[in-house]
Amino acid sequence: MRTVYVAGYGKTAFGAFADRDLVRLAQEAIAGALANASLSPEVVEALYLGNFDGPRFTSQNHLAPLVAQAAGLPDIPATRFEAACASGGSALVHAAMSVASGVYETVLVCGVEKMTSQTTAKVAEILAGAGDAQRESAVGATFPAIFAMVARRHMHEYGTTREHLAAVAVKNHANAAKNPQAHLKKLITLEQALAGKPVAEPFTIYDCSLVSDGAAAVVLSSRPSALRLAGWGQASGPVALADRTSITQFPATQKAAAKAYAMAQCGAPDIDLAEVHDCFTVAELIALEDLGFIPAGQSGPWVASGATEIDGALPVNTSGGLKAKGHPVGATGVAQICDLAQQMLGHAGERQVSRTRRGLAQNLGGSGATSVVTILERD
Amino acid sequence: MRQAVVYTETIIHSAPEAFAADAPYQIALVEFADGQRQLVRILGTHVHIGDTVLEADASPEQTYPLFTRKPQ
Repeated sequence: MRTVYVAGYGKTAFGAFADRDLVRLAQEAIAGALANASLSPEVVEALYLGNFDGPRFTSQNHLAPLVAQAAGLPDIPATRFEAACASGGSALVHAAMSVASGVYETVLVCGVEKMTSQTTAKVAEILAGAGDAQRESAVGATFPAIFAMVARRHMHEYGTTREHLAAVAVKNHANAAKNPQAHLKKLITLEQALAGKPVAEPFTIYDCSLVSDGAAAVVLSSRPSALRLAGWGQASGPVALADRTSITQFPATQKAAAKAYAMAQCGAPDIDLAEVHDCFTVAELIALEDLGFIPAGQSGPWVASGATEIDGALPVNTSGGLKAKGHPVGATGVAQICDLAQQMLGHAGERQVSRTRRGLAQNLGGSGATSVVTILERD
Repeated sequence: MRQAVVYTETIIHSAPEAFAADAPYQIALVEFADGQRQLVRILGTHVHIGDTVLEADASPEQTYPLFTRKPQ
């Protein structure tokens, strides 16, 4: 298998952009990534597009060729990947395999979602489509509700507190406040996070990621450059919460991580920084446990101690995470790679961390039905 | 009448369009004696992890499983 390099990355800011549609956002991210790689569109041999639900958010299907044409790519294979919130990660893994296998020299991965043109209730309904339609959505479950039930169980089993959950939100807001491309650049206090408007108990709005518009793109190439995809893994599990033995861990993440660590020939202690899928505060805590950074049940006190802040032992979500950077669903898995690349190439400004040899990204779909783990390495 | 134990629960304040008129409402993942779990709606008094619940309406018109707290 050939080594796969990240030749360039680019993304739009995340936010609510009434003036830009889905195709325009994707086009901007792709142009940014190609410029960053100093490559012209003609050299791209395939487009892998991560998108969760453009058809329902924007009433447009067949998005990949639409994006490819708008971005000036030649008449190449262009395919959309859907894996709920892991759509971007799934597109990335399949793109990486196409370069590793020797089929292509240069491919583009783009993730995009346009969400803010819908009402909050409609967004909740569309996002609920990532769960089990018959057995969850039909009962009135929302996505925050699914993760709220996971949080309740984590609190019951391990003594995790609402303060531990809130610590994730406070940290990620602090990081996003220093990220010019973040959706929300607003510091919050622990008290504010706890007193927020209830969404699905025990969650307040501060436990939930944002509804955002945005796109991210990376160019993958077989030609050597500073950053390489040292390892990746994708795994799946039951869609419905009712079918899990345990709901306080996501085996898909554990399995994807095991594959990625094995491929990169490293382990959790070798990771210098991570971007993890904090769609809800509890998801960041469980990710830290599933990825092997901290034993099961101990993530709450660990995060509350400051260990995952920018100057901590393991900086996590220095971008601000889905919580405050924003979560345009299909863009997220690709944006995480852009965020790691920015840190590892020393372009993170006042958020810059010092140790950046190995970065890990974890992208979760649904309540753990798909998980993608990627490890980036530089010399 | 089916009986189960609450495995986890949440009270939903921000509801999807189809259920907006019901908010706030409680849903729970309940576990039956055979270990099977099911997501259900809770009618009436709020329940907590470990509470016993009984099926409140098993008629064919009821489109989702509806349970209520078992009186102690």
